Amino acid sequence: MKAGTVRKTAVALAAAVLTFAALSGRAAAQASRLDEIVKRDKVIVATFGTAPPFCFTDEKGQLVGFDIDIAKLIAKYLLGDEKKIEFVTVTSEGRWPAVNSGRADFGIATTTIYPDRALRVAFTRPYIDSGISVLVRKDANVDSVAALNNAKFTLANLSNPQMIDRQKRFLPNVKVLTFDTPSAMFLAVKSGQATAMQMDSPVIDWYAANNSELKTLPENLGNIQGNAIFMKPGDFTLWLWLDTVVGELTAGSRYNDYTDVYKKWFGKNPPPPRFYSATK
Amino acid sequence: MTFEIGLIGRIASTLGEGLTLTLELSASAIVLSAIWAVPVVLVLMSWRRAVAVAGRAYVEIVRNTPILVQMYFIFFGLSMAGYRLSGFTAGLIALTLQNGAYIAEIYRAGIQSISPRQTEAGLAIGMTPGAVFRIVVFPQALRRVLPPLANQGVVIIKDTSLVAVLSVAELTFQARLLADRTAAVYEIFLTLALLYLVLTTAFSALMRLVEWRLRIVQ
Repeated sequence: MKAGTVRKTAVALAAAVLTFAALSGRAAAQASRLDEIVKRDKVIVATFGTAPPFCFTDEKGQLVGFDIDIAKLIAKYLLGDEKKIEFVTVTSEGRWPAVNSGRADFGIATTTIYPDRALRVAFTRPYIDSGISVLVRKDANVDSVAALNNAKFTLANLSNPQMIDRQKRFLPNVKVLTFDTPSAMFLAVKSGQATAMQMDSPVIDWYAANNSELKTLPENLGNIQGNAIFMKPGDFTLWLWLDTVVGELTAGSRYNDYTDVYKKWFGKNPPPPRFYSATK
Repeated sequence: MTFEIGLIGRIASTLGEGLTLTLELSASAIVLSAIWAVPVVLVLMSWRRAVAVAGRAYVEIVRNTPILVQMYFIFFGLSMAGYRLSGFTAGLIALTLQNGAYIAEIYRAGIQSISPRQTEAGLAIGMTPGAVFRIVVFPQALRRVLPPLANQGVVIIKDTSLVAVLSVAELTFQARLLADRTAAVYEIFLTLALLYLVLTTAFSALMRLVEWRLRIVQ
């Protein structure tokens, strides 16, 4: 083999390798889960089965709730049919691997945005405000968070660290029981194993409205929070699409759909789309 | 997928607390189940038909319903009736009731596997029924029930993880909380699985040692 031929072959090889690298790089940048969803013609969503009124199972065994309806709207906007959706029910800590392993496209499960969570999953902007309320048994004769902060009372927590941090801050003296689903927390209060439980305000209000022996304490624990859709980080195309849809629902072109769903589950209008009057 | 091996060191002390409780719960449940199975097998093998039927009914009911459901009944159900048990106690009762039924069946199989002719022979040479059981049947049955007992012990160790749903801060409970806090599910659940593997393997080895010590040299 002549030296020139060797050089030519080497150059050709290098060019081939470079082209391949560039192409595969482009392919990696382009491959979004969004394309996969469209090709599959079905959205796969991780959610809870036991957190009324956001995502829970009704008497017929169907998943229903505010989050479920929002997910169905997303399926409708993306694939033209709200039935083109499959739900994967998960536990509190099962939310993260459900999206990060690729089992679900994204998750919507009454999930509050926290900075430490945002390290491992990507959140959209919030689709609903949330605070933390306290549900108590009426027979405990407790009317405030201060009165509940007593060693003779027991608080039911959900098995996530925010619950524990909040309890240590606002109710350091109570005894604590920790459960993996909101329905188990509720069962603890209802059965008398616990005096009270802390949970997202809409959930607490829903339980109080449906159980005459329970009530909501007037104060909230801590700040206003945002509940958001979460997904595996790194897929900008899918994230942007989801975030845009949330924006359109809460304050844009799909505000009507959002209002219908909001009224259906909370019996009142959602916050207005703008802080100023949009029509004069 | 990120896999941060250093995280395991940071969570070791929390997992350690859980491990202690899992050990306590496993040991208590194994011992109590093995003891509770003795009266159960006596009832099951009773000559009185009504007694035997009652024993059979107990075994079928606790054996044929999920232990998780039984735990919920004992923890939440009894609380509604006014008896408030701790999660640990409720879990221990459920584990004992269910595994006691399984172990009673293991005992029965062991006893019935000894040929009735040996009992007849013992009685024929003038031994009392008690002596026949103590000297002829029991030593042989004991050796036969050891392998399935070891099996059941492993099942109990693994089933203690279910008590996490009753707010008992055992190993699985701590792992789930840590996973929720850090979202580092792969690191934490892999460590969790390894810890259970170590526990069950150590228990199996112990039981094989007991079997070996009790072996009959032929």
